[in-house]
Amino acid sequence: MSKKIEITIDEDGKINAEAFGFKGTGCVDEIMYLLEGLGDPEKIIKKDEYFGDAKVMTESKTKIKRG
Amino acid sequence: MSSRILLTLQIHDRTILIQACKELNLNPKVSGENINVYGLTIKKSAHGYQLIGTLMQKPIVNKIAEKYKTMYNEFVEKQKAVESMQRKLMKKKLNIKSKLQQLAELGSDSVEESQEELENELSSTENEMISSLTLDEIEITDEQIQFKLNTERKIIEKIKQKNLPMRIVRTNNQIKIIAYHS
Repeated sequence: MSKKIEITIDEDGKINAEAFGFKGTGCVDEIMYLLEGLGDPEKIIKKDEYFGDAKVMTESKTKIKRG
Repeated sequence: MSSRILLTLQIHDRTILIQACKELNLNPKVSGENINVYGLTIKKSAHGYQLIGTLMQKPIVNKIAEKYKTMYNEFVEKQKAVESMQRKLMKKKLNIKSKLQQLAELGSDSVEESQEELENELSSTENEMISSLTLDEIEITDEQIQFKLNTERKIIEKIKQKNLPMRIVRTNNQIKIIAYHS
């Protein structure tokens, strides 16, 4: 599965970032790099891929709200 | 015996009436719906506010009425100017939105530079509007749009720093930026 990060800026200016195809902690690092300086994360949801379970194909999701 | 006089004003804005009295240094005192100023009572009625005083107070009543009318007319003129500017800004925003949409369709490389130009154009229109207005209670800024544009620009800069291919999808309500990793 190709790796990509989708960042959505909604109507209210809220930012939602979601990583696809990453394994381990790399997705969070990538998202934090791209969103650096835009506010502190409001919520980080770690799914199975984050913990290295390659058998379960799910997505990592990071929700960041502007400070 | 002093004669009572009655002058009814078509008052549309209580704040302007109080402000008019203040500018005449009449120290208005607000008591519920009524305003007491310089021995005069300004009462609210079904048709507007009524300035009631004696014949001797007629000059001051006229003075308040005159000041109010001047200030109210100025207010109406400013409101018209604001509405006109709002229409102008709205038209410009729609134009900018359409241009950004076209740029997004052209590809990510050309978006950033042109977007910055359009962003500056929008900002300068807003500044022009703000500087032309003096009414404190009317604010015409669109911080949300500005914030979203700045956020988008910063994210695109970061993606470009990493030399990652990207795609930008715009809809009416949201902007989606997709960065592809090898």
